[in-house]
Amino acid sequence: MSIGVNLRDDILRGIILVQISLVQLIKSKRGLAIIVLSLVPSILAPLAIRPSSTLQAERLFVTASSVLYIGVIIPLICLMLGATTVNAEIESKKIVQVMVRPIRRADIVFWKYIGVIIAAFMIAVIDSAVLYNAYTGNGTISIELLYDVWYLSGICVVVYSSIFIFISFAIKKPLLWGVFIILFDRIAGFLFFMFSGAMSIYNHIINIGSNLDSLFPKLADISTLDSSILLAIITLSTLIFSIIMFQFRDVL
Amino acid sequence: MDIAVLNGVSKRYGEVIALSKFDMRVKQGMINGFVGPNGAGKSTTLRLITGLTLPDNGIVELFGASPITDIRNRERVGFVSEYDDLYSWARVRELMQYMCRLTRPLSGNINDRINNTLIRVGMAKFANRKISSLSKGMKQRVKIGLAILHDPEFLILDEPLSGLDPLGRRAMMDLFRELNRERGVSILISSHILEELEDIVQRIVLIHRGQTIAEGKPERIRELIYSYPHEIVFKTIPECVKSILSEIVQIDGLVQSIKISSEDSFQKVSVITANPMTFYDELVRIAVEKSSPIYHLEAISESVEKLFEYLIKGGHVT
Repeated sequence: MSIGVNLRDDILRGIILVQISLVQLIKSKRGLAIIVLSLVPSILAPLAIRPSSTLQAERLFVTASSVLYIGVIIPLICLMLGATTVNAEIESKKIVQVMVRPIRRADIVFWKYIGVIIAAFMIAVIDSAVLYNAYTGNGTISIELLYDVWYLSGICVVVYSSIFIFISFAIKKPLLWGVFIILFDRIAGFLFFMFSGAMSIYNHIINIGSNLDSLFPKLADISTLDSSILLAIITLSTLIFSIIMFQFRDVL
Repeated sequence: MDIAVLNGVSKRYGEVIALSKFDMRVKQGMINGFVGPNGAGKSTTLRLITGLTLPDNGIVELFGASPITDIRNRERVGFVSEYDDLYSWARVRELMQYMCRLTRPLSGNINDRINNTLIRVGMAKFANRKISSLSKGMKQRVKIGLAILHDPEFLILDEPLSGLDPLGRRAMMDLFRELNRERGVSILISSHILEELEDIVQRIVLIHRGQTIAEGKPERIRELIYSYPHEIVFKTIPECVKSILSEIVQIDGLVQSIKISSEDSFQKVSVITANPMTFYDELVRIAVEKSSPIYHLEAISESVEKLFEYLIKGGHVT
């Protein structure tokens, strides 16, 4: 009975932590800046190249969604939110009000992670919906493709949020290193594509997409299941390491 | 009964030793003062009790359990930190709702609880103000409100009066007294100013460089501090110096040393005494009786640091 009550209270506290993260995103200038800036490419990209047919519109939508959003913008959003969610609150001492309440340190990291995932995924959904709407005006794009992009965006958010929360605990100047990691991942993904492309997280996410639609390129010699397992391992291990590091860290 | 116990606790931040084999016990139902100069280890101690910081060595217990692992005990604690730890984007009432639900997720009558707390800390009129628009004193009141919102049994207050004006200080002191008297709330309150706590606390711990140097009732601590030699300087005309000093040195044990120097047309007399109040009384009496005018009188205030060093060197450590 006591365990049940405790578990229920823990979950309710977790939901409140997620709620705080989301309200913070909407109410803070930083959050609004992230939402507005991430929308800019969705508005500008269709203006740069106007597709003349449905197939071209679908190709452009998939390319813009994967290269621009899944490759760069969503990881950057995850970086901005993930690197600042727990660690920045520790630095600014705002975490103190939460930590003196009956919440485990592990729960704080986990629920903050969930908050980042939800916030980043919501932004990704809005961005890709705007992009879809802009391209579909120039040709009919299957709605299934938008769902595929949302699915891959979800995977991208889950993986990168975990990585960047870990980085914020592990190293100083997490934002700088985060940008370096994103760029390295994109360059590695590009350079090593000819050598199977297994060096890049982005390539593995897109590889999962190849199972959904043939417009997403497939990695040679690497199955969708292998990519999924690898991404799951990266996500879980970085999340567990974040929890361990926070467990043994002085907050003040 | 002890509500919080630190036993042989050491804590170091890089090269800086914050606490060294530090022992402390916080008595249940009492208002416990915790006084020491800046950097003495007060905040570190409070962070250890709240589980925000981990000890390098020793044992820290809160309600008989570890403050890190036994998180349920945190429902019984309210904490005011020395930092600006409020979410600046939130409004006062909104923040209180979040924090109340984080502590007691299924607590009913949250709004009544918040309204009562806002009245108690004098923030009812500002309930819908954004935190970022509040003054430092108002933020301090909100922090105190957040600490008492869930009716804790134990309040841990790290310099809770900083930033408050004299009226605010008085109001918050009255609130702490009331919580202790009416609800039996145990309080551990830190300050670097002893006088600030003297009237409210029932027990004081003096800490310096990470070690307890004295503890006991406020009167006992006051005695210790008044045994500290005070330097008092007065100026008079050269003709009167002899008559004043010859009388003063005859009073047994009043003066420890005297130094005389010339300054402009006056003689400046610097006296070291362990009993400043008697010295003032006697000086005035002699000046009147001998018709010797005193043109300037000044107590040279020593730093808290020096006072604490004196207490250690003088073997007052308990």
